[in-house]
Amino acid sequence: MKRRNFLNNITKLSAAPLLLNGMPLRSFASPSYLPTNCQGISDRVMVIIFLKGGNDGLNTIIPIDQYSRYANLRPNIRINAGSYINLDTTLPIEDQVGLNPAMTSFKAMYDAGQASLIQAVGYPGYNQSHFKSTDLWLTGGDGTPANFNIDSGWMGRYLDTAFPGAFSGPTPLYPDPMGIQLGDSKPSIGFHDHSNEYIGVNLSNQNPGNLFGLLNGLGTAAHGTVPTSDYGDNINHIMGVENTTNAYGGRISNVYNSGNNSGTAYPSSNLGNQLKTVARLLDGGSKTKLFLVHKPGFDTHANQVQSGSTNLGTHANLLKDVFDSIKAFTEDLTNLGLEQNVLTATFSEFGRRITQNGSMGTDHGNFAPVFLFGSGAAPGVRGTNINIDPNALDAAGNLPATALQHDYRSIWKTLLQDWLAAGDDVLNGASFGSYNKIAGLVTPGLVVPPGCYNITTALPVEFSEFTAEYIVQEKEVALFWKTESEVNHSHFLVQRSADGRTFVDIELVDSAGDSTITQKYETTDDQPLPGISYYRIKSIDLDDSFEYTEVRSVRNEGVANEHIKLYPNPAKYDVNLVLTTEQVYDGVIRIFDLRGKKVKERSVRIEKGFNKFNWTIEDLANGNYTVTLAKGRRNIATMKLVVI
Amino acid sequence: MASIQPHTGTLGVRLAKHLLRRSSYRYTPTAVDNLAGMSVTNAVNSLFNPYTLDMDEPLDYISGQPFINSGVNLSPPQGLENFKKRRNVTAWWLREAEKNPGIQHRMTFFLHSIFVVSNTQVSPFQYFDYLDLLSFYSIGNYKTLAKKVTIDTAMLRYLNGNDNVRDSPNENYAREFFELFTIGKGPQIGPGNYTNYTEDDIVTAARVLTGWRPTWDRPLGGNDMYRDPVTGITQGHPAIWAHDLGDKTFTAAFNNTTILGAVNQDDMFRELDDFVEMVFAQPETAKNICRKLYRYFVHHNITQEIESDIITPLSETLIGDDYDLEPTIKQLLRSQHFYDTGDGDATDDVIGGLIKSPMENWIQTATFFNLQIPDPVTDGEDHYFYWYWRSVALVLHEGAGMTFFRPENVAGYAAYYQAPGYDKNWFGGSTLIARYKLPEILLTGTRVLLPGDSKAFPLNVVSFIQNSGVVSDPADGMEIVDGLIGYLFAEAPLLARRNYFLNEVFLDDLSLLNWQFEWQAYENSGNATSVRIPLERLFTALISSQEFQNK
Repeated sequence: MKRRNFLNNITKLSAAPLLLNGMPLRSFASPSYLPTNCQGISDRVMVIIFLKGGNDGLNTIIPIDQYSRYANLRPNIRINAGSYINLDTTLPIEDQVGLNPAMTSFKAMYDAGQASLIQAVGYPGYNQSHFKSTDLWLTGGDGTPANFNIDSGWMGRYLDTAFPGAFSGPTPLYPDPMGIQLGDSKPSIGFHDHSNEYIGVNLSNQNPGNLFGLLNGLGTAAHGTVPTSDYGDNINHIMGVENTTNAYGGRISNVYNSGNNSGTAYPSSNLGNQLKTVARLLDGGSKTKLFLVHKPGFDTHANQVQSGSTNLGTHANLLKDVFDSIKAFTEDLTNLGLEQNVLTATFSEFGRRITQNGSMGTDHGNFAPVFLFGSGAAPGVRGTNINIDPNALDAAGNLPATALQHDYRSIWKTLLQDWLAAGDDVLNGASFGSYNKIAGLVTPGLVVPPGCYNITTALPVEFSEFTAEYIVQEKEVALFWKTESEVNHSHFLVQRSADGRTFVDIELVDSAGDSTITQKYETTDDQPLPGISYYRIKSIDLDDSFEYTEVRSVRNEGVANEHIKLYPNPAKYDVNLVLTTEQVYDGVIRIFDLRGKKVKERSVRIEKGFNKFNWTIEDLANGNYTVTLAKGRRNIATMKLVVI
Repeated sequence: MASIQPHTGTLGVRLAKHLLRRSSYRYTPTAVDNLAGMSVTNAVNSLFNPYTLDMDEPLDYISGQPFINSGVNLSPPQGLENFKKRRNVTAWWLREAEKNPGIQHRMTFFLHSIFVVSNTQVSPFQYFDYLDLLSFYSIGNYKTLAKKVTIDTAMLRYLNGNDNVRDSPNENYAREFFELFTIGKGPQIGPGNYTNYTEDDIVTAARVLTGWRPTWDRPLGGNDMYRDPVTGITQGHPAIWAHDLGDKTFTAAFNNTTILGAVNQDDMFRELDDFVEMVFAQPETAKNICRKLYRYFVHHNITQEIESDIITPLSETLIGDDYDLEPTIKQLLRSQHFYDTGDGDATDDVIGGLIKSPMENWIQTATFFNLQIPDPVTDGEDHYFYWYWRSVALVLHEGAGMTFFRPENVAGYAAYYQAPGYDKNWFGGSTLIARYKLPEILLTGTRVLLPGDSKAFPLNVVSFIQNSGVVSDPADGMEIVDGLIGYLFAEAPLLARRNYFLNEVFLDDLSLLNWQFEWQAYENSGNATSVRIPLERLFTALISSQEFQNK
């Protein structure tokens, strides 16, 4: 099976000190990963709202030019002609859409130049499974064989390409997790990076203000070496989750507690609360780049409208919550002075069937609209109304493949570059290189100029090995590490810790600086701490940025390894032999009476770790016996047994 | 080389622990010891011994009376009452899962994770009947279950089967029947063509399935139309007026099979039967079921090698037994591959290689340490409300990411279907807090994330160490640590790690001799304070160790 790049991953996730814990966050100068004249751009973020279940695009935006077709296709669930809201009468008639009457908030934002919509979004080879299509949307895939089974997410790939060194715990440049997920406790596939590791922080169902308090003291200490197996892989995964959550927990709590909402009334819904949390984190100084929030419930197979009052019912309630929440979010951000930094987008895994089903609902479909919000979203309607001529639909009543107007990857690509300043190499890293950008998606004056693009460079140092070993004869710890390449590198600091959390520098080691071949380094610690010492290497570049290796633990005393015991003793009915050992072998247990006569013998397989053997001794006469455990001809242990 | 050939000989402790962790919720020192001495065949067979329910049904803890099969013709309760009684059904099922030393409850949950229903949309009767149906076939015939669950009232409700009528079919159930319950998707080889079936087949299958109506009330006495003659369980019923009477022809994926439309109400059972038989006649259906079994019991990663060496022979067994599950599961649990013994390398990827679900985690912990749960008859409110609802359901399950019998969507729980992480999905930043609160909840008997008592009796670690038989001489600190680690961890830890638990956690860097004195002082005085503290510290560290999260 595929093995992860061990060192690399542990480094990425290893515990880092809470550098920023307790400090007034806003007093930090805000360092930027972009050129200095692009400061404002580096504060930009994106909020993505996943409408889970498949939003019915056709009852969300109705093609006004084809209203009678629409009404015929959906006799029981159609929005009445007098009931929908004409979004923009200035558009050509073939582009005019009627909003679901629940979308008054969207209309208001559109009129204020803070909202846009994109028609008929999707991908080639539409898949109508919730699960597969969700995966495709989040991985950047589609229905063609080449893009059908991708194991990483486009957000994860974008982040790990654009922000190298941002995933090893808080640093001055990247104090926050780059991706935060809310509203769904499953780690989203969207945040899985190039090595299929989840690199977001999932705050679903948590109180961010008390995260650190709850995390404190949970779990056990990390361990140094784990087995090379899936068991070890799981242990590493669990440690990684603990460490990332721990490392960012304090920072998130601080950010949240020092941030405020402006008092804007949000809908008291789950989505409203998620967006309110995002606004508060941003106000507290969060540098998180992507927020993924969730609104479930769009799988409206039955009763999506209220019978007789199609402007009401399940679907209308869903839409009302979505757009009211976004409007409140936008107002809150405006009051907080943050609106210019935030662009919000919605998507759903598919739209629904053009024809209604018999349960006052709709079955799975394909293309559907995407909505964008914020002053960065150039206002307007992109694309034209879908053609719902019954003769143009496929046999099931779905839009034909040719109805696709916008590939969703073109939208994300455009926003990543024109809004978040991703350079071409970053877009390639996100696997969006081959798609076309969509002109005019971002408000013209706010499009990132190419001079401000985020161009990534290789990490200055690539570690390939780091070991720490206690040398009994010398009573010291030998430390050894290797690098495969070095660019613009300054030096290493060897650090030691008693608890695996708080480290102190113990030695400075000069580095080769620039190298393309393997470089080996070694040093010793002749004063290891009593008990366990933890070590790591801090690698510092010429520009003072730094990263850490994984942590190694070393113990400087020996304890008896083997443990063997007979019980109960004295025994009456049966007796157990328990044995803990480091070895694996075939052994023989024998019982001798006082005259040396063998009265019982049994071959056993001794396994590494804990062993337990039980047998009955009711048949033995009362008295004293000797029990031996032999490995080959050699006696490992001899014990006395009393039978009563 | 992954081998489906049986592993032979005596199981031994390490493999006995592995088998028990993977196949039963109940995990006790005695059970490990017993299995360790058995042959592989006998050990696996013993898990299939019939289990007799401790209580036939839950009680309404307010009245102290049973309410499912109480002998009265009942309409479902409404509103809050409905909600409360469903809670009691969940508590009842969990309690039986704790008591069952075999595989049946583990398999019932497996079947639930495939034939997903959310209990929020049905009455306690339908919820109970659904669980009863899955239990009936837990180690029985998967194909027969697929027929019966299609017309189970809870399922008809959950996937809109009750909305699927002649003039306007609703294809929700038909789609998931193919994708999730039976044959699964193959590569997408054309528009709407998933190799094993097409969008057209979904439309056709929905027509076959038109006209089945849920049975809302609890029919008793002579109303046999509402009861399955084999299981005796109340089920949905046919309504010919709502059924599409035409013949139904499937695509080339099913060899253009035509299923004759039913000619009368009784014939609708025949038509349903023909349809299910058609799907199960495809070898790909057996393979897909075997992949699900493999992911549940062995490992999430199905390589080409696993596909050819394990899945294919297993699926042949499943087909050979006409979809009877028991021989197939036994073959899997006896195989060299399951025990990592098929090759020379004993470290490759099965033992300890899955993360436990929150349910497995707390039940195996509670049964191992013999937690005393309040009695359902004499202490009903504490049992049903405070323990199973407030502590187990809300914190230990939901908080830890397992909305029990109420998964987020019809694909079930992410741990069983969501690539690439699968079981790693149990472990995320939003779920680890509740998961790691388990030791605190057990030791204090109080809920810790939400205010209020859990009212379970707190776990007494001192008495466990004294009386469980796991440790022969509690004055020997090394034996305590080795004994507990030996039973609780999948693999022996490295010496440094074991010494961490021994010296830093348990002894607090004091000596073994000191512990011996402490224990002797406790035995003389009866005052447990100074031995309880280190023992609880050790318990907490072991239960929240990274190792213990794995099975």
